[in-house]
Amino acid sequence: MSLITPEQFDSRSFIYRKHQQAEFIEVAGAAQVLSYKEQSLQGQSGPDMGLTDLSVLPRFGLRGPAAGDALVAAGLLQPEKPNTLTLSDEGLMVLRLGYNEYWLLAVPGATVDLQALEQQLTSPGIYPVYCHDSYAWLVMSGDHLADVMAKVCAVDLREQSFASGDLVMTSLARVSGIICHHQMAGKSVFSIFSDSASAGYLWDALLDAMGEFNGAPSGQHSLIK
Amino acid sequence: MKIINCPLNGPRNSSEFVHGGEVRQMPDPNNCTDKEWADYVFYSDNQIGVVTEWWLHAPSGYWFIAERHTGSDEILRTYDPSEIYTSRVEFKAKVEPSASEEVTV
Amino acid sequence: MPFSLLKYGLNKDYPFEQNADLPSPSALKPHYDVVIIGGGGHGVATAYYLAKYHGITNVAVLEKGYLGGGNTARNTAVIRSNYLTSEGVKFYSESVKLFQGLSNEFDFNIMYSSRGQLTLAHTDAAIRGFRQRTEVNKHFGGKTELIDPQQIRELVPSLNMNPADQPVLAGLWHIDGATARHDAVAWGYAKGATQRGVELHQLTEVTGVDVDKGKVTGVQTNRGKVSCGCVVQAVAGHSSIVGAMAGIRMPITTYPLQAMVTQPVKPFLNPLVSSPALHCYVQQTGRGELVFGGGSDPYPLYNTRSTMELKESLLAHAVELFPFMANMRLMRQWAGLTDMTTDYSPVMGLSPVENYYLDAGWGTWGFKATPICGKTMAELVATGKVPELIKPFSMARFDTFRQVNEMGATAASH
Ligand SMILES: Cc1cc2nc3c(=O)[nH]c(=O)nc-3n(C[C@H](O)[C@H](O)[C@H](O)COP(=O)(O)OP(=O)(O)OC[C@H]3O[C@@H](n4cnc5c(N)ncnc54)[C@H](O)[C@@H]3O)c2cc1C
Repeated sequence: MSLITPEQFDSRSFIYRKHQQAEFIEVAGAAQVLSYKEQSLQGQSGPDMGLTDLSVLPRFGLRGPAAGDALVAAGLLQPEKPNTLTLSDEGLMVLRLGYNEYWLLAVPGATVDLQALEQQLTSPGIYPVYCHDSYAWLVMSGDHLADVMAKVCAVDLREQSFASGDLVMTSLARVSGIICHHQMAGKSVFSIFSDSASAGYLWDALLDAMGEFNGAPSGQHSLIK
Repeated sequence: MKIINCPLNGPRNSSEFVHGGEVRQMPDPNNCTDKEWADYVFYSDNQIGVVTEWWLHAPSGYWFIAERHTGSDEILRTYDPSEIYTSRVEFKAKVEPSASEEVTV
Repeated sequence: MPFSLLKYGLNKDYPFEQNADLPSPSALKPHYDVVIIGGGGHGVATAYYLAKYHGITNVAVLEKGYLGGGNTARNTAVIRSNYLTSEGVKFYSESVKLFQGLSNEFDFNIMYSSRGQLTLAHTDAAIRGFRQRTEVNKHFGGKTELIDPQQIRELVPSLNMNPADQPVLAGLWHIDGATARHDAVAWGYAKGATQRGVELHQLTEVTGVDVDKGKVTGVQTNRGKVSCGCVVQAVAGHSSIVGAMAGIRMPITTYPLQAMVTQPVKPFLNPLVSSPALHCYVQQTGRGELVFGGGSDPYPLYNTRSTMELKESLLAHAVELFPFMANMRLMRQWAGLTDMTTDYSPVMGLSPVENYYLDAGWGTWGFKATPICGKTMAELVATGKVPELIKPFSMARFDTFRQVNEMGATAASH
């Protein structure tokens, strides 16, 4: 892994300018934050609560009456109920959004070939959903996920009503977003997807909300085992 | 805040929803009169009572149907549109004679 | 204490009764030449001009509540004529001219205050729209200019020129923009009408309309039946409900519109200021209170409750425009029912029922039109002919897809 600057890439996070003290690496043909300078200097694994920008990681979506059956036929785990998700050992995450829409994502360190999957999952009754270049993917980690979210979101996201494997589509800090509860590197995290146009605003708003719990930006190294 | 019970996402603040107008039968645009079309597009009963309406849960892009009282603002029932619409609504454009056929230069 | 007051204190009769602005209630007559449904500004103005210009005084104004207690009492009293279409500008300019002479005409102070109205542009597209409105307004007799940020700063020094990260790029400065005491307008018209013999019946609700062979013959009320030669319907937010009594279905949907007012402070704001992009308008009343409002509620409803959502969003935007307002206290808030059309123009003139005339679809913008509505509706009733000025607003325009689109010029400015 060699360190690079995001400007060298056509594809980079929508909010790369916000990652001033960051060390970037190349992931899937794009610049991704590995860690933040002061954190690596301190030799710590990361702050108490971290916010990581995974926007550049590959993902695609499909929807339509045949989408669910196609996923089952392809031998991919399919979330059984609307608004739930599954995560495979290879690092493939499948979100089921509502009844007929699915997003397939590769989490950091995943060993799945999403491009091949995307080509395989085509048939009548399946329509592509573009969720890569129009959505930011932020991951919040740490012990106070529900407490932080309670400051910006009206839905109860405490463990007893929002277990690992659940997702909600709602409004957070007044913008629409998808909040997913799952595991990464053995930790409970919330993945948050929101319109790329408001990503910079949301990044600042979430960090502001995390402030009282010692929250700070963290790189993807904190999410890999 | 007012809470609306979304059939897909459960109870949510009303600020997450967008009103989509009354559920009505669309006249056949190719064969109805101008008056019928105008009535469909512009006119409304607009009385005090229970109306059946489209609502959108914006964060999930999910459309559903609600029965709501326009006086008390009470929502009596919300349900998935599949209760009413069992097949896809298709729009067929009228086949107009193409311009090139008419032009005789 | 002057002794003359003591005399009144001991007297059984209220001595001012004879000189009261409005005569005391009387019984309903069995027949009137004209019945006007709705005792808001529009209803009493119609009665006034019928009596004054056309000598028609066998007229009853039937009001289910009290005089001017509907939207006439609830509006934020923006008076202006800087609309977009030639039809709109011609019509509203006439109204502004009538407004300017009303205090004199009534011999009753309606507190007309001509302070100018400023609409802010935050995008190039808005500036283009403003340029067109400036030209149309000037052409049809209004006074409007496009002004730059420096002129805006001079007019309103307290304005934040970069509200919500949307910099103010230009302003539509409507010199004719004004405000007036809304209750006084209704009272002035009612007083002038009743002095000329018109009857105003408050607490009189119309519950049915009698139509015979396509022609209106009378109305039913909670106080009995009245026959009449013709009816003028001017009931604002209840247009579809009263219309349905006559079998008329309308191109109207009713939405609540909310407004609010702060505690009074020293005068600092002369013009009326509005920002369509922030869905907000602010003005300071003669008493020093700040009045502000925005767009209608997001879905149809017959209910004048106030909501937290609207308060939050409206106040957030108002504070963006005038940051020091964050320290002020809200004193009152309220709502009215607005009868919205899809093109933000009214529905005026003939209806499918003969001799049943409509003054409806006034939505969020009808206070400024009170004088010209009264005048044109009276002319329609007296002559049976639709005046040129209101021809474009006929209900039939929807059947022929000839809307008069004033949406952009109305939205958050009323
Ligand atoms: C919050 C708010 C702000 C506004 N701001 C502005 C503004 O700044 N500028 C502007 O130009 N306009 C504004 N408007 C719009 C304006 O108030 C109205 O368009 C205008 O007042 C309508 O006048 P009207 O006389 O027709 O209606 P109203 O004053 O509402 O009179 C109608 C009357 O009909 C009566 N009625 C209803 N049903 C019956 C029945 N069955 N029998 C008997 N009587 C009945 C009602 O009780 C009512 O008194 C605003 C409106 C609201 C609600």
